[in-house]
Amino acid sequence: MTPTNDIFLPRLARRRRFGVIFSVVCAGMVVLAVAVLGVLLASLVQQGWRWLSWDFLSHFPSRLNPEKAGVKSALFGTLWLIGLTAAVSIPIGLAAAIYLHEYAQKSRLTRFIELNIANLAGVPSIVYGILGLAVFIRLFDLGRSVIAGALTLSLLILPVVIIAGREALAAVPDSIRQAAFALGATRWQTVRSHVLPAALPGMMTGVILALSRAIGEAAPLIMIGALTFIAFVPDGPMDVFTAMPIQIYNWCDEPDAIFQELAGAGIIVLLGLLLPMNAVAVGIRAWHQRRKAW
Amino acid sequence: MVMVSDTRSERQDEGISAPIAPPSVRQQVRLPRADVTETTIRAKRVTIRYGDFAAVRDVTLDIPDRQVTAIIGPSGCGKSTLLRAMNRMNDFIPTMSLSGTLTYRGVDIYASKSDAVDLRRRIGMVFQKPNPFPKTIFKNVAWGASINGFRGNLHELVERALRQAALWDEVKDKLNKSAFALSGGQQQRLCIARAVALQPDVILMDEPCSALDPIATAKIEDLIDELKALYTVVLVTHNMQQAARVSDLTAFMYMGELIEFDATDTIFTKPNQQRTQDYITGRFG
Amino acid sequence: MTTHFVNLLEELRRRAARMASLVEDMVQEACESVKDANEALAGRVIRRDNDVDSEEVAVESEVIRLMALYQPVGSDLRLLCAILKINNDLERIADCTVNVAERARHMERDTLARRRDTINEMGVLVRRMLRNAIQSFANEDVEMARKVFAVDELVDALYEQSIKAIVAEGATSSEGMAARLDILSVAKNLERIADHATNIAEDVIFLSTGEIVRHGDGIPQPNEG
Repeated sequence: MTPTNDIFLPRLARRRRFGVIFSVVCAGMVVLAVAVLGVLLASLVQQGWRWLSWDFLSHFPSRLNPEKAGVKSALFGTLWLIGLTAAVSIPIGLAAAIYLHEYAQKSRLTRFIELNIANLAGVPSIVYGILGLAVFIRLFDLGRSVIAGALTLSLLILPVVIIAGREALAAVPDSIRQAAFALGATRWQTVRSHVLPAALPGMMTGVILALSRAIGEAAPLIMIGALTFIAFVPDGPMDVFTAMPIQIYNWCDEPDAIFQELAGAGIIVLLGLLLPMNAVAVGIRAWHQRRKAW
Repeated sequence: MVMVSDTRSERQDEGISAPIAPPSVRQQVRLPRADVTETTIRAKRVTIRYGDFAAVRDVTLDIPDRQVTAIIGPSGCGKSTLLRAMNRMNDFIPTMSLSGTLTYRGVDIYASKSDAVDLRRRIGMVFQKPNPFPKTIFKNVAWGASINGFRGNLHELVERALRQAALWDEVKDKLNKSAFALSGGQQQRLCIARAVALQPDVILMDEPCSALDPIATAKIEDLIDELKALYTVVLVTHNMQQAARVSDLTAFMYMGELIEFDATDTIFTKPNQQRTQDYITGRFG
Repeated sequence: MTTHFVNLLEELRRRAARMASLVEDMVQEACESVKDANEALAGRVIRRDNDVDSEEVAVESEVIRLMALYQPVGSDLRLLCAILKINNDLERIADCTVNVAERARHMERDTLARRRDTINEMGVLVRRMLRNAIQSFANEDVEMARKVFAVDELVDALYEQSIKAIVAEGATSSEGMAARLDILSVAKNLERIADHATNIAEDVIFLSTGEIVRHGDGIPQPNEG
């Protein structure tokens, strides 16, 4: 024990006690949160899991014959949506992020743009639905097609992709850019050879997380008129479609209890899509954390 | 910009003769031959401001060819700012403005038609904290040359550069390993190799040893002594003993002004200015 | 670190000054012992040389220590180099005074009294040179250092003169040869002390200006440039 002088009153036992209480409370909150999620998941699984089968994935939904119902049309619709949304939002979003972070001069205008992008990320998704209705369906006359849905979802996740892209670019240390410039590189050479490869894992993580959010959205798709009951898969981008959240919502609405179970099964399928996507995103992030050298 | 390659390969002992092709599409400013002038970089009444603050005030300085010039002074005296002005790395700071003339081999490098990208190929830089690219050792050294349109054998170029940086023997078996597997001192020598791979005219060094241990520092100081046979070196350091050991000429700056510029042994045995005397004997700063 | 170093430098400077003072006294006493043929005084001079020797070693060690530990530059470096050299010159001067004192012990009161005038005159000049040299070191006064060079010429002239006189006398009679050799030895040592004093003056000029001068390199006299 070191000798203490009289001006300190350590009260070590009391301080330790408070520390312990605080950590117990925090741990308790974790337990609570996990427990809630666990209960949710458990009831879900319990509700729907007996419907999970290959048939479920390969049959179309049926009002009259719920035992034979499946999610094929919704699943394919969602897959089409993921594909098209990614194809639209990734190039636009990442290019915008690169421009804003690497090229744009810091001015009032760029600050204004960045502020608004951040705001747009928080706008409720139904607003994007209304926007999509007005612009893609009415103005561009695309009809209630998959492409209209994908464009709407792209608008929805574009701010998120841009922000994630910017953060990934900002995480690349400036010393690397300086080193490249000092070798007589143009800005494009610097970005292409050094900044982008270093930022890519972060960007991919952001994109995947944004896409997985998009998949779960029902409101904007309903606004633009995704059908709730179709028995075919989309032929092409201009075809009508439905999506998993809509199908699930639709089933929940039915009075018959069996549809609740089908809805549960549908949710499990949807989670089966989302969770691996998120896991991949987190995995990429972890791999990048370990491998990067700064 | 056209570089006369004969002089270059005469000077380089290894006899690798592949010249660097003219890289820039905009051949706006034609540089004179490398052996014409004895002063490589001339600053005339240069004042550099960041917004309202004058970091460098009215500095006039001639950097001679193929010698090591050290710039010393206390923190904040403007030496790094002046150094970075020489290869226009200050351009990346939006509030920076420069008045006076800064010429490289007679050409005003801040003229509006002067190409900064091309300038930086001839005036290379080594930074305070080693900053190799997150790539292999080979790619680190070769990248600068390949983006500048190098036509020739990259392997030879990399080997020559690594030999000049006194690093070849240590890395020749692991050129495909990541640059970050090297120690701090080795990484800094890799950065030097990267810079000399472009066969520059001038190498600017901004406190290259301040992040390194004494043995790594000693190796780099020996290296600087070898480099001056081929390149003009301008070195900023806050370590006076290092300036004394390594440089041929020393410039002392204080609060943005150039106080004294003379041969190193004069500065350290009988300086003319009292402020220089006070600084080198540690009476202030 | 610097304040500590500055204090150490000052301490060393004072120490060198004390040693210089000691050596000046020895020169004075040696000259007097010759003038008065004072054996006791001569003995004192010889004993004091031990102090000078040990002090010389101490000062030299301290200079080396400061150089190794503090890597001085500029005027600090020049001061340490000057102290090192002056230290050495002072020790040599002390040795010369010992030689003079030993000769003095042999001398009788009336030995070649006439010849002793020259010696005494040399002694006065030499003491003045040493005084000026040491003063110039203490004040870093370049003008005073330059005065030393001029007087050295006079001392050299007197030395030549005394050699000639003794040789001339020795040619005519061989009596009192030992006494004449004693006088010659004293004159030689005084001339050497003068040279060392000149060295000290050169070191002072180096200390002040950084110029390394050597007497005989055409140093301008005080009333020239």
